[in-house]
Amino acid sequence: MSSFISSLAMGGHGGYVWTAYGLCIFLMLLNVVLTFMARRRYLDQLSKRRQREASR
Amino acid sequence: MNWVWLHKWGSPKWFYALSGRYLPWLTITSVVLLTVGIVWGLFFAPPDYQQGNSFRIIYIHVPAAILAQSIYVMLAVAGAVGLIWKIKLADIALRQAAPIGVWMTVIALMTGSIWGKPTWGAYWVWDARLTSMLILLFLYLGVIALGQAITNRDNSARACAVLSLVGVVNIPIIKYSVEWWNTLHQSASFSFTQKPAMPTQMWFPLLLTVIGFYCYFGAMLFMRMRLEVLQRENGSQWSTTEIDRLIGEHK
Amino acid sequence: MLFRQPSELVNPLAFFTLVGSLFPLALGTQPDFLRASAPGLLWVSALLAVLLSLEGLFRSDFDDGSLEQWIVSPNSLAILSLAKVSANWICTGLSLVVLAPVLALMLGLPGYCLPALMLSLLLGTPILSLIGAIGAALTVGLRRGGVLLALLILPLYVPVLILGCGAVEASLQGLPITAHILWLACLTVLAITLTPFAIGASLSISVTE
Repeated sequence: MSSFISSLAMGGHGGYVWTAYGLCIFLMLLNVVLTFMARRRYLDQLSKRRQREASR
Repeated sequence: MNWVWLHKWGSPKWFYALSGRYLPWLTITSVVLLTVGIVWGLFFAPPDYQQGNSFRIIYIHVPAAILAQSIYVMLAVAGAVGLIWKIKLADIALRQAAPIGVWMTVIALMTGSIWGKPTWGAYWVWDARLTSMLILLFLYLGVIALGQAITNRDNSARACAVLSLVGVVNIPIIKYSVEWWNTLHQSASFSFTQKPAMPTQMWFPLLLTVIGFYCYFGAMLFMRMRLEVLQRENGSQWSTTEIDRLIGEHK
Repeated sequence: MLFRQPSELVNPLAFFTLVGSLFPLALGTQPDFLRASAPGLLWVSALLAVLLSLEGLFRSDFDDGSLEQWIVSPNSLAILSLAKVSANWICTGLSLVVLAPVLALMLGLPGYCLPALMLSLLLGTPILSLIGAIGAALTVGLRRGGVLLALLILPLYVPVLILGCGAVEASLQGLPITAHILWLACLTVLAITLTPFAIGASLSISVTE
């Protein structure tokens, strides 16, 4: 267990490494999520419009 | 020469069908490669004898930087294709690839400056590579700003195409002049043609993450382009059936 | 044509001197420090002055419809835009070259640097005008093109800035400036041959809007 923790600390450089990886992965996932949200928004918009037209 | 294949790929319907088939594979490949490469790089690659463990940032910094530069070249190629053959799909590709390029540049800059702190003792050093990345970021922002400022869709695409072509001619000049201005940085650590100076244990994860980043870019680009194709083709028969299907899936 | 409106000639020059004299006010007047930073200050001021003069480069031609005449005219659009940019450069770039030594002496740059300064400006400002004209042509139809123009073309100015400042700094340290000047000349030739086509293409895009 202690060897695992010391490998996370990376000889004092852990903070830098983990921040860099965290930011990178966060931004990459953010891109995916934003794209999905844009698609969802567009589909919602279309389905609402269709319901309006159907009820007319 | 036979250009039929190009026009086939240029057809939105064809692209939508084909990209839908490739998208899952690209996503899976990218997730697998990135996971393996990052875990290998973080836990199994040996630490660098000079920089210790902070060098592990290389496994995301270098792929992001390579990708950021390739995406700009891709913008220019898409721009040229759009200008010469008037293929709308190339315009869509240019417009959708630019924001991904910005994010990759931002990732490269941020990881680079975090890496700089233990290596140079400061978060920002005016070294040649960081500086050219910063200029690349401005070039991307210019293309996006121009695309948003011009309201007419076709003109906006053509203007962005011209700008990215001008930019791509300038990039090597900018790179060389910035390098000339400052030659402090460590020399290129990785290339496909030369035998790398790093041990295999160190460079192989890098190769994996580089390919993984490219697959990530491909998957993101396809996702974004498919949405814009759907929006542009709104009203045509195939897009209506596709939208029906997608709305049905959500419910 | 350009001389009908003296303000087009005077404004960039006044701007150049103004920016150049703001720096001592901001940075203090220690002679050594000013002399060391003079090459950079002069080049940045010149770059901004050229940028300022370019914003309106095609504006009046766009408003009165001459640009449409250009496009239907039998002359190549590239040649016409090259002529237009040359006229603009004679007004701003060339006069900057003449005015720069005055400002340089005010900043404490020694006299033996002046040839390097003038030569680098003489070779560098045409590149600035030509590249800037691409941006001006792309943004001519837009309401607020000014900031956008700066965002589009300032990154492309980096090589000229580096080489130009490098030449003046080298001469300040008594080093040879041939390499810088030759590279600048090379870029000038490249810009003169390639940019007119980009300017022409950009103009035709902006006009069809």
